[in-house]
Amino acid sequence: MPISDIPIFSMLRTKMQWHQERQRVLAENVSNADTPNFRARDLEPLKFDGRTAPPPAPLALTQTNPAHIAGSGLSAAQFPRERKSVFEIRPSGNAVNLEDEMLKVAANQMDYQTATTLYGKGLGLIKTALGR
Amino acid sequence: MDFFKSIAIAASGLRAQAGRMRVISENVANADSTAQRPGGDPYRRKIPTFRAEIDRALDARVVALGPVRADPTEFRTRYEPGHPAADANGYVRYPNVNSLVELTDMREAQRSYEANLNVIGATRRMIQRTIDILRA
Amino acid sequence: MSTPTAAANAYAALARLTNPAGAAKSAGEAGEESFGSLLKNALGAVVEAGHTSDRQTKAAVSGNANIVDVVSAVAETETAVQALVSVRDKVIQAYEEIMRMPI
Repeated sequence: MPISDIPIFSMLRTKMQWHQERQRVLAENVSNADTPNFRARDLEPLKFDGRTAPPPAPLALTQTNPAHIAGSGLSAAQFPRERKSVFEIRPSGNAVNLEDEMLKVAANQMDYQTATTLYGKGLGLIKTALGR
Repeated sequence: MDFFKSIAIAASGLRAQAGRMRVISENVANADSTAQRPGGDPYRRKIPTFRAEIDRALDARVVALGPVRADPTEFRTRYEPGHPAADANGYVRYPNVNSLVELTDMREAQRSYEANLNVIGATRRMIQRTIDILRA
Repeated sequence: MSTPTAAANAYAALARLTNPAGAAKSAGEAGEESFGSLLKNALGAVVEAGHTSDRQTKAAVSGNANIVDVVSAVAETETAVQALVSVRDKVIQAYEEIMRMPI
């Protein structure tokens, strides 16, 4: 019984990845606040309706010839390369408004910490049920 | 990796704003630097520019200080016949630096710098909470 | 759970919970599925989770890992191993109890 297949854990993991990606986009916005012609960007909000399966795993590099060098020294067939963003980025209005971005950063951080805490507590519940 | 990317992006913002502060402080320090001889030009105000560039290693858009441009506005003139740099009519040309404008720019740079610091702090807290899952 | 069958039933119920698509199928063959095959499946899943956790830890050491992936893989493996160890302890306990029974 793989624990990673329990829907609540895969949902929380997807949410954590989403917040991580969003932090990167917001960091780009903040650092480019004074760059001319820069359009602020944000991620599409996560939706879980009806689709509790995690987003498709990134493609793994296959070796068509055993003599080819694997990507990062590990078995390329199993270990996926750097994950491309599976979350959609869309523009969010015109020039960067620093206050809005700071608000989003704070909200992002708090939501991420919520997801993290829920994940930890969920695992803790299972461990308690096991008697440890 | 993504969290550390965010920190690197914000760090590039810090560097850019620090470079901007350097240019501003150069302007403020040289606000009264006239030429030494009657024919020369005084200090010309510098304007920092930013540009967004894609960092290949990070696969993210970071900011970099672009070329520092010279402000083409006219120099101020003052009537000072005794000054070594006074021209034939006794006018001395002073740098085109306006202290109030520089002060406002400085505040902007400080605000942006602190915003980037906030991003780094928030990201650091998120990384810490992630690792705390394993602790308990 | 003091009897091995109750433990096995609880385990199977939890497995059904995580696999709603296969629930109908497994309800039909719950009577035929032996406890041994249950344990084998569980062991395979834990070993797989252990491999994932090792890979992620290696990536973390070499500095190019997604921290969320690493932490979630390690935490889930820890929980899976604890579950397996608990089941093993109960099975051994039940075995010893049976062996203690006078013939």
